Amino acid sequence: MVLLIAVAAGLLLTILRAKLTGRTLKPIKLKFGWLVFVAVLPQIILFQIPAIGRQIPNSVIPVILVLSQVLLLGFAAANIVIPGFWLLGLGLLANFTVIVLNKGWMPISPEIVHRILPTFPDDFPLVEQRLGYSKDWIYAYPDIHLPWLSDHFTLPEWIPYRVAFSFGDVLVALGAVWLLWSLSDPDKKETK
Amino acid sequence: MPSNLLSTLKSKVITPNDVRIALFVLTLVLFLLGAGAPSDGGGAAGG
Repeated sequence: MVLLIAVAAGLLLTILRAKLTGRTLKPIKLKFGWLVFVAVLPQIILFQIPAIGRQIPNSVIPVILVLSQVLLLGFAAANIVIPGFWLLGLGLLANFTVIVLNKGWMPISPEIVHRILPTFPDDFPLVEQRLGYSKDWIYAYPDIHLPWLSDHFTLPEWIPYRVAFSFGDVLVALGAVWLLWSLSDPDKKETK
Repeated sequence: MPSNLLSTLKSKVITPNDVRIALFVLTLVLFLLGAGAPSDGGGAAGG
């Protein structure tokens, strides 16, 4: 949800900019765009369709997640010259690194889980299990490798939506806004 | 005749440029769903 908000914000900004400057949005030619569909389809099935995702053993999910992100890294590398893509790629690389170092899952600590799910009693045992049907696995904080790259950011208290996200997610969101903003650039050279 | 009308209507409402933009945005959304790892899954479902 938080990442889709970044896309909505980027689109809104670039459309507004195009209207104000009398430009039309120019699509950017992406290399190997099909790779994204191939890479992400298994993730959509695993993480966005709980009815199917719950049938897949937890031992298989990390393999699929890592392979999928390897393909996405290839896609990002192939398009690195496009504005914003280095930021998208860097965010993905940050998430990929912390996922690989934590047995194929995005680590999250029990403290953060309590922050986003305050209804859980403090003594509720959370460690060493998957968080819902997400990519997150709950590890005790000392067991997390590169904890500063894990899902340890949360939205301010005054925002009712509770979610944890990583530094990599922030970079990915900023890269998306930058990329969408460039659709309304004045004289964008076509990237082949 | 109806096909001509439909074709005219389509060309006025949705241009090839719009389709390319929509495909580009769809690719970006999919990339974000795959690259990101927020606790809510990044989309409508998940955590």
